[in-house]
Amino acid sequence: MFPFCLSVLPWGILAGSMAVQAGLPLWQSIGLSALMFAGAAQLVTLGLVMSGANVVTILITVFFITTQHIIYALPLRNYVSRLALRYRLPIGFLLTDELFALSGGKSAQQPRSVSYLIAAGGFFYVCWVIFSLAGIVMATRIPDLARYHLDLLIIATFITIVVPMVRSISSLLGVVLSLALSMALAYFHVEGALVIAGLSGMFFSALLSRRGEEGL
Amino acid sequence: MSGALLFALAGIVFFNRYLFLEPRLPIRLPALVQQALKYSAPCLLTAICGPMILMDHGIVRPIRDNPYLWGALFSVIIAFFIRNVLLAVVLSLIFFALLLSL
Repeated sequence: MFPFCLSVLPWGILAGSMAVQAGLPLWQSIGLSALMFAGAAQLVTLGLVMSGANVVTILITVFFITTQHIIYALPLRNYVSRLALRYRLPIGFLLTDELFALSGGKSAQQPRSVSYLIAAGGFFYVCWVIFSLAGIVMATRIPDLARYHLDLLIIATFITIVVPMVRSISSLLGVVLSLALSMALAYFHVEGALVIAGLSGMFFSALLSRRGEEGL
Repeated sequence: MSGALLFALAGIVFFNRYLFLEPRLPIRLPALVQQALKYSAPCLLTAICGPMILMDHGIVRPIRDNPYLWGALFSVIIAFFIRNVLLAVVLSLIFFALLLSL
């Protein structure tokens, strides 16, 4: 559990300090980590708020960026959906990438116990909030140089997240399509360029990987 | 950003996490949708970066003299070789800073 917890340390610090740099009041900076509890979605929110995106774009983008959590629930569904609501709700709230990885992922024959899921998830939650707080404190003490070029920080961060995710030709082509479409649609000032470009890339990748499987 | 937006976003994240833990939900996702969702993070994050690199408040940046473009390319190369997230981000930012100071 500890290595997983430590692996989110830089993300927590980044999410916390970026919230301060984006000009959020303290309660919102803490609230993002304490209520959303989703690193990538938090950074996306801050990036969009900074670039002046409208509320609908922010809501739709965060919805789609966290849809991969729907997948995380699938292998746990058989086991968790039989539990009482008082167990399902906390497990749902705590279902992060890390808990998904610990719960055994797709290969899990024997699901982890309820108490294990809630304890491990709760542990990650506490770590995440503490790391975010550390980032918030650091950002308020360090002179706010980054505020002027927060967009650069966002680009550098997102690229660093995306590159290791591109592990196949189908994902590469999907990302390239999303990039080209997002630029072209933004150039023509199309409403919802971001969501259209992102979804097009997703389905393009999915279609390509299906074809690849059929061809084998 | 408003407090209402923050709560709405928290609600959306929880909805997505909880959706398939709900026993009364009979829906099965089509295979294509399930596969597409696996690609949501890389494609959406890229789609956020694209316009930021290309444009500045609705105006296209000059191609050769665009530190965002060269900085982004450098970030891709760095991220490819250095898998330590924090180190990769810091190196990219140093490169961005150098470009901007030129």
